[in-house]
Amino acid sequence: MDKSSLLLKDAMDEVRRISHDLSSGVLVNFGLLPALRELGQSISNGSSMQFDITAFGLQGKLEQSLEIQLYRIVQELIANTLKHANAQHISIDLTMNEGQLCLTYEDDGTGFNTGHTAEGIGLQNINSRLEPYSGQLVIDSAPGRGSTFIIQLPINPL
Amino acid sequence: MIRLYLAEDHQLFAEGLMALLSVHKDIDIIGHASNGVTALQQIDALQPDVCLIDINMPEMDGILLSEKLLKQNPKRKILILSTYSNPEFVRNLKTLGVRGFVLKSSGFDVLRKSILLLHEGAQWFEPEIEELLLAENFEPQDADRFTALSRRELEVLSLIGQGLTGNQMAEKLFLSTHTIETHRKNIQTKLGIRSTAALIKYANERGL
Repeated sequence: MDKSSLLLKDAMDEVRRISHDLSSGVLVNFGLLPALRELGQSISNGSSMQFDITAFGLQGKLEQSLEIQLYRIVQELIANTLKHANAQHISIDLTMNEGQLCLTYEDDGTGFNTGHTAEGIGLQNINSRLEPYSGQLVIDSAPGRGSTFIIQLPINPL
Repeated sequence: MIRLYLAEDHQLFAEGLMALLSVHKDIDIIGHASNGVTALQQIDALQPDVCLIDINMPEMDGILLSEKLLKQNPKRKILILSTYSNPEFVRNLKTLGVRGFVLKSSGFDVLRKSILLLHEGAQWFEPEIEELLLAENFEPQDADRFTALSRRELEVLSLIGQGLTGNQMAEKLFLSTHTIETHRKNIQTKLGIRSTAALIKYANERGL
């Protein structure tokens, strides 16, 4: 493997390791938002990737199985960005609006043709994670202009 | 002599700590477990003065253990050891009734001092985290709403302020109209402002 592939592999291993740590600790104990903040912090530490998280209206925890699915989805999206996008900046927003949770994930990478590559990069996987929650994923991307993933799903009060 | 109980699953860390504490004669480790279930039983039996509890442990983690111990006896003096410096953790732990929080990256002196303080009935939380918590509490609500906006939402809000339509914004930012509308909806939710006229006014007042 050349040097950049090795670096990439390190980064991916790191994401997996952190995610594993978190799913047993932070995610379960403190909820999705703190877990995503930790994940972002770990990724921007020691790399040039800038990672922003904003949130609004998320009070307390969501149903645990849903938090885990959403965490895994973000993990998947980050893995895609690291692998394919050559991005400098990832931003995640979680907004709760009248019983609807909106998760917006954006990177400033190379983008892709949503018609062709959608299935190849694990997006099928994301859709199947969302299905039990009646969640919907809309992808906005094109070669040369970054990618935005918008996930919306209804939240029932616990 | 302070009777300390240690719940910590990393053997090397636990042994190191016991060795360090054995030098000082003011703290005595009367028991040690590497998981929460055993710790719960032993703490109940031994009634230590202070419980030093690690967050990540097998079977029952430190948070659940603290919750159970404090339910049995709300006056129990619990000091949490953690590798995570997240203020939200500390806020949750304080709500539970935990009296202290020490980062594993801190030195032995800090840990020893915090054990002594807890034993005297005081509380001790890492100062850097306390500062973050205070900053969060004093932030006015309007600023909270504004800081909840993402970079992209600020950009969209600025364009709304310039009077651009959804289509114009989509073209300018190379985004779909669906993405623009989602940003607009989230901006409205975050700021608590519904009408476009009021959004334009807000953006201009903020100098966006």
